[in-house]
Amino acid sequence: MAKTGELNFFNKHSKGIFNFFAYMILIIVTIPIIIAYLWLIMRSFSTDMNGFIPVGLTLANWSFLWKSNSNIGLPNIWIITLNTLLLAIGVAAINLFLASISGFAFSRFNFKGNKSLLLLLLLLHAFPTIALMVSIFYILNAIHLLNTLWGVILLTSSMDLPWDIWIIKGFYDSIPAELEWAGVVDGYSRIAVWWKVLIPNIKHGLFVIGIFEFLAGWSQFIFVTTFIFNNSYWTLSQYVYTALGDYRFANYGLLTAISVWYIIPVALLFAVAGKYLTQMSLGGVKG
Amino acid sequence: MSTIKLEKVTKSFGKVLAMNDINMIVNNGEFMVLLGPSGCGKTTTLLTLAGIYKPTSGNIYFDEQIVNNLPSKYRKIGMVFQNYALYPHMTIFENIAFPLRAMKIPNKDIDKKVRAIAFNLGIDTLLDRKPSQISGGQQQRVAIARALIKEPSILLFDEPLSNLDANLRVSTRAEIKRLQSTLKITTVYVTHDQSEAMVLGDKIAIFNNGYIVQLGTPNEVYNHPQNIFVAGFLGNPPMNLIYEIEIYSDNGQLYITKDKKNLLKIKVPNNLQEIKRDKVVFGFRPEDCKISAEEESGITGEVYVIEKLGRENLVTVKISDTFVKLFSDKTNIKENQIVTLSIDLSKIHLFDQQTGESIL
Repeated sequence: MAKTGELNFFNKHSKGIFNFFAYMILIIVTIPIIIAYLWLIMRSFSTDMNGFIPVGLTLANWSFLWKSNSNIGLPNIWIITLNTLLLAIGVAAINLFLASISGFAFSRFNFKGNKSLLLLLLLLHAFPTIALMVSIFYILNAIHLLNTLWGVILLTSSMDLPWDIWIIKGFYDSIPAELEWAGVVDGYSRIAVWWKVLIPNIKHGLFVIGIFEFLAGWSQFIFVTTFIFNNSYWTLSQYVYTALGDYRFANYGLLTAISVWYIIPVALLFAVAGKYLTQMSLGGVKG
Repeated sequence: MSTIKLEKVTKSFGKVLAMNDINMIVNNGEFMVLLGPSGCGKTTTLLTLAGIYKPTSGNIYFDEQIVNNLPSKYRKIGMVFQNYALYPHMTIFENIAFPLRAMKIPNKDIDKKVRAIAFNLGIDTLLDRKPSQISGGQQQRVAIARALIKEPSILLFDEPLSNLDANLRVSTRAEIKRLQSTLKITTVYVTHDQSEAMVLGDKIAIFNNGYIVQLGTPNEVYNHPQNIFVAGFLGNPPMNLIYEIEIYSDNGQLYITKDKKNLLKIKVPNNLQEIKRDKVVFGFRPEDCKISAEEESGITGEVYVIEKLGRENLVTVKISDTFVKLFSDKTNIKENQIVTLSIDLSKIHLFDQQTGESIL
């Protein structure tokens, strides 16, 4: 290390210079994205856009929130939003529950076929969903889940479950067995130890899965558009798609307003959870 | 307060036999140390006592009750783990209170008990912190507090000092000793460190390959090792062992020889003279041997290396093809010098080279 007196400009300000370039790069990379979103939001509150300049401030585009749009084939927005929330929360809840118990089993129980089942799980996840659509259609039909929200919830869950189990198993693996033994010696049953000692220590993993699966449900489109025929079971993705209709005749005011509506919950989620998501790499047990 | 009895206990994991016909009694208030190299079955034995493993066969008694299948929470045990196993997501207070919460004790009493024990162990200022925010020595105390808070009948320690630095290890060792002798709780303590075992134990059970090879007081196992393994495991440095020794008697005197050279004339007990052994192992402790530069009767050898320990020197001497270690404070000994070792004949050991058993 050079003495303080000998530091040149770059030594003295190395951190500041680094930050300056880091922010410059971030700004350059994010500007197109930010502009796209800004355009979207401005367009939803105006009658037209002149390049990037909104023309004629209005709330008319947002009238789908309180006025029926059934004349252009769009169902009630509130039912659709509720459906989407149900789908997102349902997928997150099911996968949180199943991954936290199966991850535990894979991590802790040395049952026959443990390893091969784990590999099979990974293989399952490797199949492209689109290749399975026809067979899924038959299966859903056979178990009377075609054209139901439940069918889509279960499908979305099952497609991501192998991956979730893998992640959660990794989190369990990082907890030493001694921690569990300590809980048992301290007077708790194995299930109580799981709930009071293990679950709090894999909460970062559960958090990540919860967010990812919520988003997977929220943005689910292919299953909704393929397996749901009744528009009262639609979700927002299908709603946006229908509002787009034929791009030549699309009502861009309505479309942008619906798109912004579709984005709001996700943006809120990231605003609240972003801090935790960046911490996830710290997961597991310290000390 | 409890008595522990293990009766022909075995434990196998698949084909691996971790505990082999273990018989052991730990009396009320006694401090039992299980000592052995890693993988010898001592930790398995401890976990079987804790109820985490179930024995494959045999019986474990706490007092008169068979506890083979009794869940841990009914065993009235407190346990301290090697890596302390503190719950990372709880404060120190909650860590210590955790066993009491399982007992559904009112919050007011929990608070009182936790603060009392934390004060006694000198960790009362740390109660609001998380385990990752305190030092290893402090974590150790928290683990001990958590084990003691439910007033257990039996205390189990699994190498509790091995993660501490050398100075802290010695002082914590003394505290554990004092704690146990004050509380008089029946204690089973696992370690691979023979000096810990000697200091702490009322009795030491030495494990090897899943068997108890010797069980006795520290004095017994140190001064009367029943076999080569125990002799070579205890002591720092351990007992000097010279292999390929032959014995013959002449005129009522017994000679031990190596490479056809008479090493030592010994007067040995009568019963030994009747035993005809092909090969034996001759053993003596470093402290039972004196070194001299003059030609005397005894074993001659060449000084190989001298290590200065401060108060005295640790001298390694080469006798034929064997290196032996001994302590000396003589300053006239130099490396590569021919010296004579005179051994205290009342403290020598002889082992059968084939079976490893003591024959003295």
